[in-house]
Amino acid sequence: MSCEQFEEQVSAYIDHELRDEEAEILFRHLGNCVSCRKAMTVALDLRSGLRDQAPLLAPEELDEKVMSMARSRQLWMPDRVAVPVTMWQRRISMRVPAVAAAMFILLFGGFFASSLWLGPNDSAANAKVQTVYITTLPAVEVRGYTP
Amino acid sequence: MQPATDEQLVDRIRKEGSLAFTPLYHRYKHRVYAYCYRLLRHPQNAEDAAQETFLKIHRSLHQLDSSASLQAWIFTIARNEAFTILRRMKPSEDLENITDDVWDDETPLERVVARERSEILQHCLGLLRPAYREILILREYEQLSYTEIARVTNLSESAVKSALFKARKSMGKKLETILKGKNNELRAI
Repeated sequence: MSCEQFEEQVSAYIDHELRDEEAEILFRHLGNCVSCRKAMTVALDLRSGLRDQAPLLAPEELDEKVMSMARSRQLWMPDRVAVPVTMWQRRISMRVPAVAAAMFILLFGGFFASSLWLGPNDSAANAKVQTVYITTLPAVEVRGYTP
Repeated sequence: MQPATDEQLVDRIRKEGSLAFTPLYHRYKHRVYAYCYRLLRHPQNAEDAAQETFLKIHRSLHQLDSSASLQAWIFTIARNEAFTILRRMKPSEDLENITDDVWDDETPLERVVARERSEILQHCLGLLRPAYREILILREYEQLSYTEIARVTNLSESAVKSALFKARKSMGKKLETILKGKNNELRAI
């Protein structure tokens, strides 16, 4: 491996991106090479110089600009919030015309079906109808009453 | 309550959508602004780039892949915005408007030394080609891993490793030249 390649390894080493065995080979080389040791010192100095600088803070006006933009977007385009619910809690959302159509079909469909089910309104057939009551209640004796 | 980690923030974004934008903004506003500023070296352009970045983030929060790094995603968007502005900028606008923030608790002498040191470093950083400057900013200031830098810059990890080495070497040389010049100036006095 050339010094140029070892210098690249130095750069990766200070970034903690070198494997242990690679670091071992690098340090063996650094023990014998002055120019690569200098490259390590320069890289570390550069790092501390850049990282020691005062932090750059965003101007306060940015807060107002960004947050007002976020508020206006939120107002006009509210998010669909995904809240986990169990199956029985789920609601079905439908548009108003669809609800009206569904109710119409249910109401008139039911009326039509019931007329088919009951058949024609025939008084002779009605006369033969016997009403049978089925009950599990025990018989009650009523004094003075004979059926 | 502010989420303590990026993972908690991502979890909140998945549950609440853009309602979780405010904590995200407050967590990243300074970093995004500083990143844009260091790339563009112009306060107003940096502010515009940061604003556009957060607008894009707000619009596309629902596209956030929960398994990916949040900071890599944010810096990818910020990079696109900064580069869009960088392409529009005149060459003279770059490297101007260098303002310097210094710590308030420093003595006047420390302030001068820190200011000069910071100015020299910023100057050297500005002299680097944009691709090197960007990669050094992402690593040294934002402390992104090679994987995250690769994602932001659309490079392979080995290309990131190589570019970082070249960027450091180039900056080291520029720094050496400037410091030699300063020493000669002092000797002349």
